[in-house]
Amino acid sequence: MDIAHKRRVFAILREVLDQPPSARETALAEACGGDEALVADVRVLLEGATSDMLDRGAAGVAARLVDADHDEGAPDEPEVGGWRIVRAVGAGGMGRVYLVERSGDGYVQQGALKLIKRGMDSDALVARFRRERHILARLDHPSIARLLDGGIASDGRPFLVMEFVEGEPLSAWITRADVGLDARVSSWLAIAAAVAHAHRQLVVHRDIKPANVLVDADGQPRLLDFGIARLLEADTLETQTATASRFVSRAYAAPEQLNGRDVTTATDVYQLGALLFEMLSGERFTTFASEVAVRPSLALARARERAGITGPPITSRRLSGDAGIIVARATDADPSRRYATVAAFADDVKRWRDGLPILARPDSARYRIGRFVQRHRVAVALGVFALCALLVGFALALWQAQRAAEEARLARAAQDVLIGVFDAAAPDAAAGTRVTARELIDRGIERIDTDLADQPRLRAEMLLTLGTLYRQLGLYDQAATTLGRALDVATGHDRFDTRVVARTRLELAGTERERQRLDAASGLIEAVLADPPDERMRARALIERAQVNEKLSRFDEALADARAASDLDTSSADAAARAKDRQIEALILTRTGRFDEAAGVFDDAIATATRALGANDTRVAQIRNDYAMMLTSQSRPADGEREARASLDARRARLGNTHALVAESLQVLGSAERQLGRLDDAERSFEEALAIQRTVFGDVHGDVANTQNSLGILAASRNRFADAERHFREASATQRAIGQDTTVPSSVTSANLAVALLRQGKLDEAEALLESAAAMQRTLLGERHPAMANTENGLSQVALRRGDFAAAIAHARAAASIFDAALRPGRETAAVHLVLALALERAGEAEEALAEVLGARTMLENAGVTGDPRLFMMMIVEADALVDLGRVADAVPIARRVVDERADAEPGLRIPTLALAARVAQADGRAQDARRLRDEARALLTTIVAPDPELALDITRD
Amino acid sequence: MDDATDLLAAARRGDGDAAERLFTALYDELRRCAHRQLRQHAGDTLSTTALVHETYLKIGLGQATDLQDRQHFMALAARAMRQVLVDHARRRQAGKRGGDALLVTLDERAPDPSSEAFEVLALDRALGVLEAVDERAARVVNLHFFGGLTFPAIAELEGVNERTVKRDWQAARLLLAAEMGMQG
Repeated sequence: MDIAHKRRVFAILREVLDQPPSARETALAEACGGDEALVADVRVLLEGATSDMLDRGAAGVAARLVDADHDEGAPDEPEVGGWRIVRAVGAGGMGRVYLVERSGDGYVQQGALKLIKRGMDSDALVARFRRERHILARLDHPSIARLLDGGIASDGRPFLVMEFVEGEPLSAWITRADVGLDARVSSWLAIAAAVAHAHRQLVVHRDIKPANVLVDADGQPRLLDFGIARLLEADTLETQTATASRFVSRAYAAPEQLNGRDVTTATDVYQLGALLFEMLSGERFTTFASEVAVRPSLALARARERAGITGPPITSRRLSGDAGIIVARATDADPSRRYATVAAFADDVKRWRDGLPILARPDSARYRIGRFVQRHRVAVALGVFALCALLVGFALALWQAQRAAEEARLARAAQDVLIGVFDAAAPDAAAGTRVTARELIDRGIERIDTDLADQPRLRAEMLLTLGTLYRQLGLYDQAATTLGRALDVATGHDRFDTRVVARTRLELAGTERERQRLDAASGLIEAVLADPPDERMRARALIERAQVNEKLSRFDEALADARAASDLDTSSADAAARAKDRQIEALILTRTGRFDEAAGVFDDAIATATRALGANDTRVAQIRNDYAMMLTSQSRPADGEREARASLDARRARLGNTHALVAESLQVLGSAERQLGRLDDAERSFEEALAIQRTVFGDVHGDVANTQNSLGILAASRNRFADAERHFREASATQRAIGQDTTVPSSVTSANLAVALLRQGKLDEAEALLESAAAMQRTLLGERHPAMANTENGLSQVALRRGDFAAAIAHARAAASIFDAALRPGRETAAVHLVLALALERAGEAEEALAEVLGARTMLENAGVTGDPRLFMMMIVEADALVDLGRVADAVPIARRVVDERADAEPGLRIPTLALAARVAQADGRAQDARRLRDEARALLTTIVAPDPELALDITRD
Repeated sequence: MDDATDLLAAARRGDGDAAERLFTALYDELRRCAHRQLRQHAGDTLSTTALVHETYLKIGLGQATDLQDRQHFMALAARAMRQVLVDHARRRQAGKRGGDALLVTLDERAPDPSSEAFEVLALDRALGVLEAVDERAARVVNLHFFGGLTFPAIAELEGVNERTVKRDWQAARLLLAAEMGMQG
């Protein structure tokens, strides 16, 4: 056709188009004037198709071309992210694919590197990749090509590196005439097993299709691109659900992907159904989708017939019946009506292959869920954590599948399921599997962040649940982060259930308290108390506040809050809550030294909790721990040890060996052991506790300070005062770092440090510390608190060393009277009476001193204490008093015994015994013996680094 | 870069050098805008009108220019857009040669840039035919498809009524489709 003819045709075309459609034939005939060839030429144009592209507009075409041109070129560098490019192996929807390799320690790793094309926000993609990569990297299955690496290439393009698989695309393998039914089913089952594995890791493929499967020379399939579609599309999901399936193939997409609805494990079930259809029939599922839905038992056979001689070597008769029903069930348009799991789908396929009746029935979702739960009751016995993983996936899938309907009710149901699982599983039913539980929660959080991004209520409740679990596992930082995010989500919406907001605030407050962030905790609690949604929540808030006040040493307020909470909860059916209220009350009573009252409340709390929760529940263990703490501080170490061990055993069993609460029980146990004089046992307990606490909390934490203090006391018990000073100073520094400088624990540490200092002769610093500690304790605790006795005891020793015997006696009497009132007679009371005896002896009150020291020794003996260094100090004071009283003959055997029994003691303990023996020998008229003993003592003194100055004085004293 | 307003005025006066420089600037800016728009509106159909308008603003032609300048600009922009498409389509086609596509996850999603590149080149050649058949109809296609101009705007620019422009467009796309099909 020449140009002139084209011009004529075009002119006529224009004219005809100017007419209404009905008049066009007439107009055409007229314009052509009987030239039939001309009419035909115009008609071809009139009836021809137009170009789609012309209607789409230039901009879209331009953008795609510019983009493709930009992105599908080879990278500028021969290396991407440390991977050396060997050659290009193809180009896909995402971008180009290269065979790459990377050198390791003596080996070369190969990979398939995908350079992701631009046109999406690569920053967001990379951020998402970083979040997801460890999940994807965890997919470890023989039929899954693993994700090896990913990042940003130097030209700014994101890249992913997958395991390089050499094989034949499944799309080609399917057409092979030599692959029979069994091989096809086996191959499909292997793919299904890979998908099921991924679902257990909470990863959905969402783009399962023949092009994403490679079959190796042995016929083993490998699934590619796991989780990649999700990685790529998540940013569009959040903003434009309509384009959510941009990165998946429409021909294999499930209806929910095309509708922009949520993608779940049910999506993979659908795609596996479509894949099975194609693998068995040789035809694409989409072509037969409606037939499958209408006549399931025939569709697969019909597709096989359509494929004809190019189809797989399977007869259509073999494919009629159940196989089609299975595919229909898997590819139901309603995700909730498909097989609930890939495993169930695969089971039915196996039954069909083996000629057994299949289970696929048009049963209701309710029936299926019921069955699911039933199955998992069995699974509980088999392995709790596999179950947890399944249930988390199940619950999320459930929410997503039915989000439109009764969202809140379902959310609660799903949460209840989860809480139930974890209540049963962690920490009270799964000994030693804490790490697994933590991983599970980590994974749950990953899923929530991405899968529930647009469902704030579910997201908040789920974050609250998982944050609570973190806290139960002692992972307080993770708990605080997660709960903080739950609170952000919850408070960011005005129609939120106020109870959820309150629960979240209180859970976070408790976590902050455990992290020693008391101001933050107070703020959260007050926010709940300002407008509590109900009385139960008010009680919970009060109990939280009581605990914060206890930490702040505001005991009156704390006690009032605890009792108010108890009153609110009296009618509550929640026995655990009632036990908790009583426990907190007992704890506060203990801290104020009201031990007898506290013991009654503890007994009540333990009884209530044991009835409700069972003897080995961690909450019962907590109460026992607190009780043990009280018993030891009351110098009832045998009872304390019993309770501490009961608590420790339960916690170790339930929480594993590295848990803050295990450390807490160890610390209490160590204190009891120390009081019982088993110092090596005590040291082991404290060291283990400290190691755990440093692991769990880091170096700056109140519990670390407490244990450092305990180690200081232990060192002092062994007369290792430089060590003690070091421990106490560490404890002090820790307490200052967490802002605890004006609390009871820090005043106790100060008093202890002062004692360690004065035993090293550093009297001025010791006295200053004691004075300030006493002032602080008087304000916080009152005059009669046991902590005051320790401080008085220290002040007495300072005065004694200064030669101010009157002051020493006065302080010692004050200390003894406080202890006698507060504590059962034992090691602690014996210690202050010994100091009093010493002061009296030095002041020349030998008779009274003798009475005091004998009383003190009786206290120790009655408490079952043996091997305590103080026993020797007592014998020394006793002998000195006897000498003072002229009863030298009574003193001589005591001195001999002390010297003999302390023959191998360290110099610090040996020297006082030699000094005593010298004094007794002197009084006995054996001057030469006395001189020899003193020389021996002096020689020993030179071996001590920084000896207590009192030792030198002791040697020279008569 | 020279001031775009001055360049445009000079181009309109017949300064070929200025027109060329403005064309180059437009060409680059269109590519950038197209790329940016695709990133921002992934999956959507991009509006050529919006794209050209964005280019117009980006290149520094604000409200200062009068109607005639704008029209002249549009004609220039349409030409630049066509050039962008053709150049990238050619590069894409060249890149295809010798490429060994195997062992990948092929994506069935439409439209495929390769076939689109092919279509663009076919359209360019078909437009060459149309230019010989009916110059005005070819201008209408250029302005509407490549420049994103509306039919009333083209009518005003061409000094004909809107109905004529629509007929030109309808007839042109039929002819173009036929021409493209013949080549394909």
